[in-house]
Amino acid sequence: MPAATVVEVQNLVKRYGDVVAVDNISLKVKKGKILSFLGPNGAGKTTTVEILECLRSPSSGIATVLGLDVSNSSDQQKIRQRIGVLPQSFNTFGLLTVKENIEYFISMFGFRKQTDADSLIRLVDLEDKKDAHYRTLSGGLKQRVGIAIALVNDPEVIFLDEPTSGLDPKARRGVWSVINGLRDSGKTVFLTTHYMEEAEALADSVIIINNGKIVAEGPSSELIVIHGGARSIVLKEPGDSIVKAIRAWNSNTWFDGNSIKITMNDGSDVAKIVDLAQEYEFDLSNMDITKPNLEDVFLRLTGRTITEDGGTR
Amino acid sequence: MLMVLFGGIFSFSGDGFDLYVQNNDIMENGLATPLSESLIRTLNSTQAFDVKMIPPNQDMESLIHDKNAARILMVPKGFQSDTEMGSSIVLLRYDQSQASSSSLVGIVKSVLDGLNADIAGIEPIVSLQEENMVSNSLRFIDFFMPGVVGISIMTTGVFGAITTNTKYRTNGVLRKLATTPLGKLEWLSGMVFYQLILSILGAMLVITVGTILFGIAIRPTILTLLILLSGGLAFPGFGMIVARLVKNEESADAAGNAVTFPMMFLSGTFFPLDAMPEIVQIVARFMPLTYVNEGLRNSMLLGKPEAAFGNAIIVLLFAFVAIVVGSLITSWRDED
Repeated sequence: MPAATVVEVQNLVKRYGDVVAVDNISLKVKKGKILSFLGPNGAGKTTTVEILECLRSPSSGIATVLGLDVSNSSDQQKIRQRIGVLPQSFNTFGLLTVKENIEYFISMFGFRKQTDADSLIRLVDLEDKKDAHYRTLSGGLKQRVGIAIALVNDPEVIFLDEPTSGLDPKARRGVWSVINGLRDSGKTVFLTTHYMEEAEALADSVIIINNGKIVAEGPSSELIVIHGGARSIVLKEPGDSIVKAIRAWNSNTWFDGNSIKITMNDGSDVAKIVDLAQEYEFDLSNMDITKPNLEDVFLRLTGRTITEDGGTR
Repeated sequence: MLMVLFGGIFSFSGDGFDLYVQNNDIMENGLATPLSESLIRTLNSTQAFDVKMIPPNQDMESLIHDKNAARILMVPKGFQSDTEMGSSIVLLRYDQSQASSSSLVGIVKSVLDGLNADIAGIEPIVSLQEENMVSNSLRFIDFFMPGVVGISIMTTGVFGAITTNTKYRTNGVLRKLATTPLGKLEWLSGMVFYQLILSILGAMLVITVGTILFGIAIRPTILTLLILLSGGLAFPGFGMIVARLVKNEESADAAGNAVTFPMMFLSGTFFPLDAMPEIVQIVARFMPLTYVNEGLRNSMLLGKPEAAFGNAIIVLLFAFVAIVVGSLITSWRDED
């Protein structure tokens, strides 16, 4: 039996004046899956999730969460009872402790089935910080509190909007392991991110959005096979002269200022690069051969790449 | 701005300088004794007062009440004969909280000095007995104290509402709250209730400190509490309206000051409203703080419960309007 559809969006459009933030997108999220909504800043990710969270109303199109219509005000209240949300740049009461914050949000869901604060604290691995004031926590720990709060009503679907934005790699991995734990407990997760590796590491399937439009969707491995292209040769910190020479030889290259990436046609490309390296005195210990990843997918589909801070280049 | 305000208050002040004079030193033929007559004539000739004669034996309390008399000079019966005997008094009752009071005492004293010199005694014969009026001992600090309580609940409420709303809106907490079943009205009523509690606590602190440090002669009543409660609702409501216009935390304070400062000075906090220019009095009628101040004075200082109740009703009306308007214009979710 195929898994039930938890989130469904059809021909969704959101305009702010003349600006079209979300341009006629359709998507489905199956129960128990982690969907990663991947795209640069301003692509329409947050607008889409905020429509699904009943924070914004769509300009046109249909969006349902758990079979309930986000545009219907009595459905909205039911949706809010049954979803968990980690908003973008999450924040909560700084002078309350971790546990008090979680208990505060538990109390907000009234008589509905509730999770107790201690088990949530255990789930996000914050036992030794549970009595610390929220404002004293580091960014990564704050996000984990946010995830715990998103779970207070034992939601069927969880929206995580940029959960690791601005975190250092170690903190990011800490949050990832919490999100992976959610998958194991059978929750459906709708995750927006501009980090390629996050989408690749966590998601069962990925939807790539750019300029308000969906450009590709599917499991990341599939997207890489279809859109990622062949392996690439990467030279780190090449000199100007070798960059010039490589570009004269092969137009299928991409240079971001720090490294140049050459998509391979066949094995002879390696020999050619080695020759050029010797000619231009490039240190071959700075050469890599990489498999294609989501970055290549995005690059091939949009001609751009997403930077660390979520912009495009 | 403060300079302009104060300048305006002082240069325009002056309900005239009425001095009510009651001469009880009447001879059997119904005429005033020559000595008392000449004293009053001398007072009149100073031109410092607008002397208004009142009939002998008229009840002074009703005069204070009905005519709002702030200065009364009473020449007692037997003034002339006592003076001839070598010792007499003149009774001056006045409101110490009024700025004109000290000059009044000075002028009356100099007139009496002149009289004593005329009698040419070595020892002063006629002396002045001063008596404070309006609930017996109303000093400026007594008048001022309810105003401080008023300021306290105003600033707590207005600033509390503005900073709470602005802070939580800019730091993202409201966005998180909006994703829960919590509704706008629940959030706002919680916020107002919280400010109300803070306001009452603050007011109680001011009253306690005032009583202990300055020995303020105030008697808070149940109506005082009613005024505090209605003010504690009106000001956060007011703050919600202002908060809607505030973009970020930096401008929140400025917006709060822009609202509270004029209100503080134009609502009879520091000076009695009737000493203010007419335009200020008119403006003051549109400010909730005016009624809070009046209500606090009426209830805990002047012993006028009916007037205090009327003030409370007006403040409650302000509160109702402010909270309804504030709730309507406060944004919560996109679709609201």
